[in-house]
Amino acid sequence: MGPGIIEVFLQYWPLFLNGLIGTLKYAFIAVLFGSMLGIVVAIINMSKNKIVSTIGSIYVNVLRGTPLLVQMYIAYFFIPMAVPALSFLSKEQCVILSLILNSSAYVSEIFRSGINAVDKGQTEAARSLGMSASHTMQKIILPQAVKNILPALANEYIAMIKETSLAGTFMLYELMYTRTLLANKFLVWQPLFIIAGIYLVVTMVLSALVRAMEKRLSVSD
Amino acid sequence: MFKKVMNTMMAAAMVLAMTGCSGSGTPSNTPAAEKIVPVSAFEYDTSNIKKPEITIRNPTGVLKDILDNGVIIVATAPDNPPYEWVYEDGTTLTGSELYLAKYIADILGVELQIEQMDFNAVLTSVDTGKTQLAMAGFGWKKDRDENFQLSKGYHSSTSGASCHSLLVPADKVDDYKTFADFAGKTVAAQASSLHQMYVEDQLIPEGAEMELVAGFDQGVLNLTSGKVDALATSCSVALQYADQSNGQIAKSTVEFDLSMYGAYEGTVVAAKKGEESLIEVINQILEFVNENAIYDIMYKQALDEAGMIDVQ
Repeated sequence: MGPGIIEVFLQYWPLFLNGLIGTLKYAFIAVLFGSMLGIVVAIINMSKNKIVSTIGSIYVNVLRGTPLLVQMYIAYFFIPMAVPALSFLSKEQCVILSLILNSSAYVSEIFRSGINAVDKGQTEAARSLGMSASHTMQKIILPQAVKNILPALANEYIAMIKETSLAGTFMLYELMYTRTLLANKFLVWQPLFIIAGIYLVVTMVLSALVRAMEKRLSVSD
Repeated sequence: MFKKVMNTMMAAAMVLAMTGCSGSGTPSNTPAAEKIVPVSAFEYDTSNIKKPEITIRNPTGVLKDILDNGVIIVATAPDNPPYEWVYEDGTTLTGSELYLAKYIADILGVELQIEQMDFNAVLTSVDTGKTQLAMAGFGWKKDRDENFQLSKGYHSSTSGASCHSLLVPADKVDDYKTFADFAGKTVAAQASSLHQMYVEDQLIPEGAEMELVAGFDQGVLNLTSGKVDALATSCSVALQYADQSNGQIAKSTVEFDLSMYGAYEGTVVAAKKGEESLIEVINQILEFVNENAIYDIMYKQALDEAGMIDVQ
């Protein structure tokens, strides 16, 4: 019923473009800061201190074991209530915060496997040269680990592009939100196919880039 | 290492603080001025509309916050033109219910702030104190009345705002002449909307089944894909969809009977349970609105703005 998919796309493409920009932006912020936080979580997780590492694993399990939408609701409604100091956070910031926290849990596991994949001999060699544990991690282990996990991080970014569609629930301007905007013009089914097409194109292009990057990185091995 | 981590975290916090447009927060520590986004409903001029003399006796609770901070925060789900919808920029909110919100704010002498969110989140947001008033086309319901402080209903007697009907497949219009014709049929309604109430009270007793949907667009998809037999909605929305459907769906001639709801006829405003002081003032305003047919003016303007067809 109503105008076709192509007509709707031609008429409203700037909306979809704005939505796509929003989606890519939120996914980028989430993965960028999620990665920074993820490194910290990974290091906490691998701590030799049982209590510290338990806290780390609870953090990862809670964030990976609950749906992102639930996390967003809790971040939006209850974080400012529980921590009044955070009540200055806007709706957008609360939702981004939950994306970052969620991403950090996944990224921390990527980092953990990347760090574990670096040969133990590297640590032993560095330590026997008199480098401190943190210095070893910073200068020897992490640079090698990061190279190993770059493709996995890029895949996390691609996954996050799809996850951010939940931010539309909170009326943040991303791709899925264009559905609400067009439903207000009584267009309800066409946007779904357009949105699906855009997600598909974007994730396929990025996946191809990741494959090219993997190839390039494997040259130096 | 630790220092670096701290620097990273600080940078993250700073970016978090800088990103984003305006949003909510607790009213006590957010100055009203910088929070206001210039949107259509905010620019709605109520100076030519008659206003009641209201009496506020020792305001308590949220009403006191509203008056002290000079801002009222209204939650809405902008997916329901002409009642509330959002323009393509994603920030310009408008609609007859939001005009009414501006009218209420002007009477209270405070600024209006509107938070847009998913319909499902609107009531949660007043309950958690994130917002103070929910205006998203809610109907009066017993269980809702037990959990929220509901106002009296407001409606429009002369315009199509109080006409509520059903969308049905165009070739089936003649099959439905009375409520009884919906026996054994599945009728979709948006969960917790006014239309859920009408279907529950007027069609289910006749043997109809109800299918609740989260968003109205899902209801339209259900109807056009044949998953449900009818979709309850307001007459003007029904006419608009019928008009755009190339003759696939049509407005039923069956219309809901609203007279049975008395003072709760029409749309109600919801606040957190216990906010009696606020709802008492809102009720004073709504009584005046109903007596003077003020919502009729707002509804007609919103209908014009949305470019929609009026029923009459």
